[in-house]
Amino acid sequence: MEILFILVPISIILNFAVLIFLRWAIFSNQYEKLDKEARRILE
Amino acid sequence: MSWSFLKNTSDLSEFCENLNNDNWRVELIIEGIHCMSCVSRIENSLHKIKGLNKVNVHLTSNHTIIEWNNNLVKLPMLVEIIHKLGFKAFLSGGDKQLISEQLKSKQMLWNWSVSLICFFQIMMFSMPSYLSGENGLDHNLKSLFDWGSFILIIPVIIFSGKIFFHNAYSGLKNKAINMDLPISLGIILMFLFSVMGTINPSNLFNGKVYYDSISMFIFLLLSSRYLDHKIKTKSWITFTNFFKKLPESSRKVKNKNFKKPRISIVGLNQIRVGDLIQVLPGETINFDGVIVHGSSHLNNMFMTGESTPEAVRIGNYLFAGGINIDGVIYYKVERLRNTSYISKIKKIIEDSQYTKPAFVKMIDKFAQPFLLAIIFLSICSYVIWSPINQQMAINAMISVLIVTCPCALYLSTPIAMSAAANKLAKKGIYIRNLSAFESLAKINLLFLDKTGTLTDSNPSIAQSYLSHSYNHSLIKKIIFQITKDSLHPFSNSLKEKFGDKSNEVELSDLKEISGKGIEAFSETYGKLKLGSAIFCGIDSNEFPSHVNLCQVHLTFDGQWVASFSFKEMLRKKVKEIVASFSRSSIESIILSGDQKDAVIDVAKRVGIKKFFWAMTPKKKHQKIIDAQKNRARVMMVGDGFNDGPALAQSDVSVAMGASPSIVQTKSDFIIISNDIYLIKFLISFSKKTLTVIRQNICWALFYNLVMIPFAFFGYIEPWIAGLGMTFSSCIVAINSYRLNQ
Repeated sequence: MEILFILVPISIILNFAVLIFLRWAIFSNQYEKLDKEARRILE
Repeated sequence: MSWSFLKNTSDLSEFCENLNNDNWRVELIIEGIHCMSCVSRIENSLHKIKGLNKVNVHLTSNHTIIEWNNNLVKLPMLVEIIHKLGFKAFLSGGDKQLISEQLKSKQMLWNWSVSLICFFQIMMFSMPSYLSGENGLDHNLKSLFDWGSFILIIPVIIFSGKIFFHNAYSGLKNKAINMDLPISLGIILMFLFSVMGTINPSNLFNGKVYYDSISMFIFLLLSSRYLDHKIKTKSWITFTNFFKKLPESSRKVKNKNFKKPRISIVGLNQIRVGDLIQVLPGETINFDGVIVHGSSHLNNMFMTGESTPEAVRIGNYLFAGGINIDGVIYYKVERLRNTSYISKIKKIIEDSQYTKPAFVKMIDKFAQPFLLAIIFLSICSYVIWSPINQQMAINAMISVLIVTCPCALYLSTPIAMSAAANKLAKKGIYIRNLSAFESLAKINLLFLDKTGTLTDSNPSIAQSYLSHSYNHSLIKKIIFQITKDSLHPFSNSLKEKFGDKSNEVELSDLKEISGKGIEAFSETYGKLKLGSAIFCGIDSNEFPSHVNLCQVHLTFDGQWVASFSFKEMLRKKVKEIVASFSRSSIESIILSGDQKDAVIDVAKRVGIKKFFWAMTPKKKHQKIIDAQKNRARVMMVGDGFNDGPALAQSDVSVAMGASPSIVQTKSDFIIISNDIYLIKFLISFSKKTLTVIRQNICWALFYNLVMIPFAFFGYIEPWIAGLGMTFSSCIVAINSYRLNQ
């Protein structure tokens, strides 16, 4: 099971990558007004 | 932001509310308030100023209401004081408030996401030790997973857990204990023991780590708080966004010739009260106002929840936000944006979120000793167990801290009420005070106003008698001509019945004499009079008439031409709805200012046995006091126009009607439509709300009481305690969310 000693750190790095991406997504309004595009066509 | 512009009274009226003479009220948002001591610092410093009448700072919302006398002190001075204390103030309701609200929401989402993602990964790392059985994991592997979890728990503590530490600390600074204190203590204890176990796996506690419990606990706690926040701000955000969608310019009409209007498109800030504005089909109405020309259908769905378009014509009141469907209309502006009807409603929604239901006030009272007892209990359990088994002692201590936290109990009432208020807002019912739900479910006596509540405001023509000496279509044309510009309810009904736009009869000297009738002059027919028998100078008994009904006559030079008798129209389904009240053992009584005959007639048709006529506002008030002395729980429904004192006196008050005056009254509920069905809905919905609240309280209490002994005697591992505690909060939140659907 020595492979775990490589896989666990990789998973942690991936985890942080996801967090950084998510932070960008949330604070650049990707989750605001999710129905905006659907409504835009009607307005 | 420079505040000096608020020195002039004319500018003040645009942002502030004039209470009377020189007394004004403004609502500010103050940034940088963290705790009760900030609140008292602001309040105390402002109270020292002469001319300040009232200041009220809300800790959680940062909303601040200031009332001052403009003769003695100016608003910019007050704002300066706030700035000198180190806070930032800006006007509420503006874009900045929305931005700060959205930022808060994003921050919460981010904190929640961190806890979610790290929680999943930590669970992956914890799984092997769950499955390893008796012998436990290989030492190296355990060390690897523990260190991995340790790295992942750091962002959870920093981003997601911060809010609990922060709240607990600001509570302590004010010598108060809040719910976040035991939560923070639990998290810190678990984290410390986990770090010790990670560094030295062969310590006193067998290297036990709690990373899985911490992350799950924080994740679930944030979930329920995020849901709570969403429910509470939902209506508010919808309204604020709605404001942003309103057009930024209007078509201002510069002359009064509606056949050839001169139009210029101007920005909102250039419009003043009294300006004329043209609205084309498909456009949204920008200001509150009165139609002066044209007719159309309007969609007021946003406010009234009613999707069927409403017909409007000259004299009708328009609300900002309504959408014009077919005709071109011209209206006179009566109120600008920030004093408009819809902005008042928005404020009512906002304020209602900060009223505390009676149950929460009660919990607040007991919270301090209860939370102290929890901390004491958890220390006790450690002291009792530590001689026997160290690991068990720690488990018991942490579990007691977490499991007994009354989060669910604290959420139970407000979250259900907020969800219910959202649902009501969708139907056009707005609540001013959340605790009104509690009283509403208990009422047994219902006082109804007659006009506007049970009956339409405009009476219908029961019968018309036309003289045979004149051409009938001519009579109709004349009647339409005479009543065209009158706003009297009878005129409205006549206009509706004889609506004819062809303009053949020339009339001059048109004059309305209030309370009597209208007179005019025509070349061919002489002096025309439309009104009561006395006004027309005829004896009503000589002409066809209907007993007990109001009559209007038309004469040409004193010669009888036509008579009309009017009957009050019951609103749709009134009878069934009143019957349903008595089925749910609520007695209905009519309180009307009208004359005996009219009240008796309506009461008979509706099926209400008890009624009072010729009631002045004072008498109405007295009737309610009398009923309350007989231990009745009174609900009063009125238009808020002349029953203000009665509304204020009753246990639950509902102001109903599509008139701008209803938002001024201090009633508990405001219904912006004339549909009496909504009263029935309101009563049954409040019962449903109360059921949900009871379920929430029962569940939360049951859970806390059952879990305490188990935790105390060490039967519950911290992760079960965390799961149970947060799970019960989530159940409460989800159960309440049902009301929103």
